[in-house]
Amino acid sequence: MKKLIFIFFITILAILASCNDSNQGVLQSAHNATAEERPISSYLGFFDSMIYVIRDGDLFRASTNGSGTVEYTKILEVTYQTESTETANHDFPFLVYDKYVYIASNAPETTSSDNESSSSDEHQDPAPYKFYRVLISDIEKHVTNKNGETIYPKPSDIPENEKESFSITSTPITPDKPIVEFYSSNIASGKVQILYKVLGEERGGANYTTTRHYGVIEWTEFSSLSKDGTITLTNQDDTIPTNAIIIGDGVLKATTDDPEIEDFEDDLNDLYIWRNGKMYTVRTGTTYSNFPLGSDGAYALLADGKIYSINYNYREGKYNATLTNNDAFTFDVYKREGNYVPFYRDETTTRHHIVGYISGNGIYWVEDFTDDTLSDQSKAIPKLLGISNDNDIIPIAFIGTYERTINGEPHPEYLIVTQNNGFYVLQPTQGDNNRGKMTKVEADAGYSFSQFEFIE
Amino acid sequence: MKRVFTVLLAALLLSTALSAAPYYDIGDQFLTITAGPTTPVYYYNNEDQSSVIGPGSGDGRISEGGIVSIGYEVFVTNYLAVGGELGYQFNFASNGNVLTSVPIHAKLTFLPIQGQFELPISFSIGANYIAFEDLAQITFSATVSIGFNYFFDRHWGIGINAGLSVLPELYTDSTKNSVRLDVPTTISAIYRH
Repeated sequence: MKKLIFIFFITILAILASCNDSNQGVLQSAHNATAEERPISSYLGFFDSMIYVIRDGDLFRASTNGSGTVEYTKILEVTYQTESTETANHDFPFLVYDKYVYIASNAPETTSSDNESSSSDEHQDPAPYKFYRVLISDIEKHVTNKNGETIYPKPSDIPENEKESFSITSTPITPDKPIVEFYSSNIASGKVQILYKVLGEERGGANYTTTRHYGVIEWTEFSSLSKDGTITLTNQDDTIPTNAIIIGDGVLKATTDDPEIEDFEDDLNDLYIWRNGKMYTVRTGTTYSNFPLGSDGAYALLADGKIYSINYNYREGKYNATLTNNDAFTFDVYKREGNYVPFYRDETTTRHHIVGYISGNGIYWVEDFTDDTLSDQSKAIPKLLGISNDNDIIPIAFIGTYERTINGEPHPEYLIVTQNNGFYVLQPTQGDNNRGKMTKVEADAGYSFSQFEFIE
Repeated sequence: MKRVFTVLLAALLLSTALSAAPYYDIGDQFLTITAGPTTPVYYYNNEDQSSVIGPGSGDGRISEGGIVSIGYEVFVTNYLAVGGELGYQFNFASNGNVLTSVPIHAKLTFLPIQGQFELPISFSIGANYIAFEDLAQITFSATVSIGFNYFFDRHWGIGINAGLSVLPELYTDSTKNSVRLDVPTTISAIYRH
């Protein structure tokens, strides 16, 4: 009994003596640990029942196993350390479409002549930008080495003969800056469209206006050839937009932050449509404060709560935006880059025409675009979707839809990729599009990626 | 706790009545090596006063784990042995890291049925060193278990056991407090002398 008392006494002393300065207890720390420590920064695409995302700068594919739990597999190491310990992230995967990974690269060429000249030059000319695509199956060949060990190939490990590439052939002018800035990409009608901006030369004297132009590269499914759909957006004397993104098939949204152009917004120079290498400015006659939607050559614009359709006027030779009051919303589009991802579904009924988009950390509805409510423009104002328990969920992209039938009624559900927390299904509350519920895609939720219809 | 002692007392009286002659003498001893899975069945987190039931991944759960231990006990009466037990338990958190638990317990075992077939009923309590990632703490834990032993000969036997472990983690800052219950189900190799 003395021994028992002794052991008990020692135990009490040990408890009093031990110290944990953390904000959490040990058990709390273990039980609160989450599986996903790597943040997801972007969603690249879907292929063969698997979703491709960038996590911590590297390319991962996410899949669901038999029980529906999401599993991540790294297939390309994009951020890695070189011998000089510098991070060699010259290659940026930006899109997965069909069976390809599309990569933008400004990695310096490593030819023998380059090596000889680099030692004598004070500075190195910016590398020409290059876009290339690699078959996912070719990347997979390099994931396992000949000894059967799992490795993570770098883009530079992929042999050149397994890359289809297109180089921007502009003359480097500005030292230490890339000649091309990669902007955004778009998938439409079997085409992959990549927007880039070429920096121009500085002109003499005190006028350092830099001239630039935007270009578009298109890859089609029917040809392995890439083509340069270069578009001169402005001439040398104009102020050109500093930001541009592709928002649909052949649609460019461009903005400027030049304070000297006071009436830029009023002129609505920030929406363009290109066709056959020619750029058209869309005239709307109003200031739009929201996102344009469009696909397959038909577009709509949400402006001040009103819906405009955008049509080409053959007589005037330009595109116009026209206020609509009927079923203008027959579009289905979403966008990968930037801070919002509009999506739209359910054009088959007149009951629940829903437009939604991600902006910042929230998800918004533009509720009930029925024939009736189109005449009530006040209902077209986006409203933040209230989601319970969404404090830690940062939406990144909407990636697919799934329609569940309950009591004969269609209930649309949306698959959304979120930072840190993986994939969630958004289930809007029926009859109340300002409310919804997020359910994590895991075994208990019973979802698999293949259940969703992926919008590309 | 009162109920536990009541049950133990009833079992003692009953077994004493059933067992004509005890097998063990005072001073007899046995050594036990035990291993098996252990299932987290309940976790209470005082920070948000939430609780979860059962093992799993995410939502405050941890995986099923395993435990190995070695114990030594000496009979202080014909039916009651006291001693100690040192164990090692592991569970996996949702991020794949291991939650380690090292119980160092004083143990009390009551054997109402003894001989070739035995029915051990044990209670142990003592210190428990728990560690996860860069956090560690010495706390205490307690386990109650019941088993069945079979002896091949005079010295060697095997046993199966099932129990319930309580692992509280207490701080002066009550928001860090939590409690976990586990159900270990183990097999044992026993040497008695």
